Amino acid sequence: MLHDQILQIAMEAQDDAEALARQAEASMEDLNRHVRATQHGAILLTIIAHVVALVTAVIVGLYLYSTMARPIAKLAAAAARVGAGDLETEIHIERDDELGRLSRRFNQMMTSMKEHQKKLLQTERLVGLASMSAGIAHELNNPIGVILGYAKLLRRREEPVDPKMLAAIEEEAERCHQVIEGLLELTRGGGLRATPIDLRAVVDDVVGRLRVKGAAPDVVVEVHGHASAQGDETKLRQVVTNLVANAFEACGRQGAVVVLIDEPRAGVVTIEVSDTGTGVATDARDRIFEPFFTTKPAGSGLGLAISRAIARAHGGDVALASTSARGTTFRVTLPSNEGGSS
Amino acid sequence: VTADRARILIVDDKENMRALLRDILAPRHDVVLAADGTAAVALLESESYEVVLTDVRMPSLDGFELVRLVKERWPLTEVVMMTAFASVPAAVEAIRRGAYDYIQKPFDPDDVGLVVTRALERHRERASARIAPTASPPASESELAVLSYREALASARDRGSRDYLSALLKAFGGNVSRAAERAGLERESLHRLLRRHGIQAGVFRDPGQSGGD
Repeated sequence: MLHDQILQIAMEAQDDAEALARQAEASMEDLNRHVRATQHGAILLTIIAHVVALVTAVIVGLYLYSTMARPIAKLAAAAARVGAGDLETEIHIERDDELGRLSRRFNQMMTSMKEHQKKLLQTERLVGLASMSAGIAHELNNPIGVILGYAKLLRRREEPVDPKMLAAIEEEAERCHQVIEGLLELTRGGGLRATPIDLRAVVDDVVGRLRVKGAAPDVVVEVHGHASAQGDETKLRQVVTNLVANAFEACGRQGAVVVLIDEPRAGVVTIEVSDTGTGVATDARDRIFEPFFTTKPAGSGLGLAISRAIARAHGGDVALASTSARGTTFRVTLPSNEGGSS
Repeated sequence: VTADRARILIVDDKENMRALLRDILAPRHDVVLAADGTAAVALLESESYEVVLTDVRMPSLDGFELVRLVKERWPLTEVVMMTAFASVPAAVEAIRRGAYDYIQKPFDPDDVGLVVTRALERHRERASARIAPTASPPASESELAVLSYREALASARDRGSRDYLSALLKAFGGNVSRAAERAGLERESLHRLLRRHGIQAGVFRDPGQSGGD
């Protein structure tokens, strides 16, 4: 019976042990559950914290953007506009802080810049007008001086009228007339009657006429090339006449004048007029196209200025292509006839 | 008392202007013409001239260069500059370089006669006294800059002309014909100049003197 008793005890012990084990297991499970629950809470909390942080960041960012970044970007854009030359730029930041004050300063700066610009333009215009007036005064006072001088001399002296004096008066009056015509030509805008023009025919005709007038009989003239341009024939004839007459004068008594008419390229025709003169002095090169600038005793200083004005009115130009002690080349560019209107 | 004919060199690149100046001065003086500064220097090298009348704007050697050269090489020769467009800096520069006067085109032929006469007077004074050439401007630069050029120079010249004409008339006891002859001016021209400067010849006639001979 002892055996049974022992067995009984053992079985009870086993039950107890199992119960204990189950209990332990249950508490482990409890613990685990708890741990898991805690973990879950922590993750949730982290996520919530991140979301809150993100939302806060966005709100703060938006706030900063509207209060700082946007006005600064406005300023930067305005500065860029001013840099590109737009002096009408203004910034509107209606605020009471540093940025508001900065924008008001910026606007004040623009106002004074506009004023300075206006003054500068006025000064430039006055300087231009002054140099123009000096030129006009010089060109007109010389012939008027001769006319007045002879008129007074003739009226006061009892000697018979010398026809040479009258001829001088006539010549100088004609000169005044030419200066005034030249000035009108220089300032006359528009009014171009554009037709197709055979440039070769114009150049040949101009050379012929200058020859008839007795220009430089010992100077050799060569004309090369053909092209057709679109323009006002009377005015373009004037350009060619100016340049060829200048070339004759530059050659002096002997030398050669070469006129090269180039085929149209990219809608542009080129006429080059070269002489074998002594070239344009270095200090005169920048000034030869200025009205009233001249290096010639009989020149009015309007020829090249008028030629350039005419060429530019046609959408072309006249430029000094090259000059050295052995000669000078002027280049005229004009819209070609073939290329249509350029 | 006849004024010696003076040798006058006219330098201008405009042919008709040269001819006019010759026609104004030739009856009283020996006039030689040059078309530019370089030609003028060549002429000065071969013969002496008392007065050079030169334009400012000329090709090659211009008036400013010429006055500098003349004062350097022929200091007794007086230079009168002519310009068709006067400006303060140009006038100051001309006088600084030793020009005697600076006249503006268009001019009255009588004034050309008078300026040449006065320049000659100064030449003769300096030639006899052998005064070293001094480029003393008639008005200071600042004075010229403050007033307009025209006012400054015109008033200075007017004053100078009035003083000169008065002294001339006084020396000849108010005898216009003899004064004109001495000064190398035409009698009518002197009469007009006196009228213009408000000088009455009668004031200088002294009844105590025996006609002023």
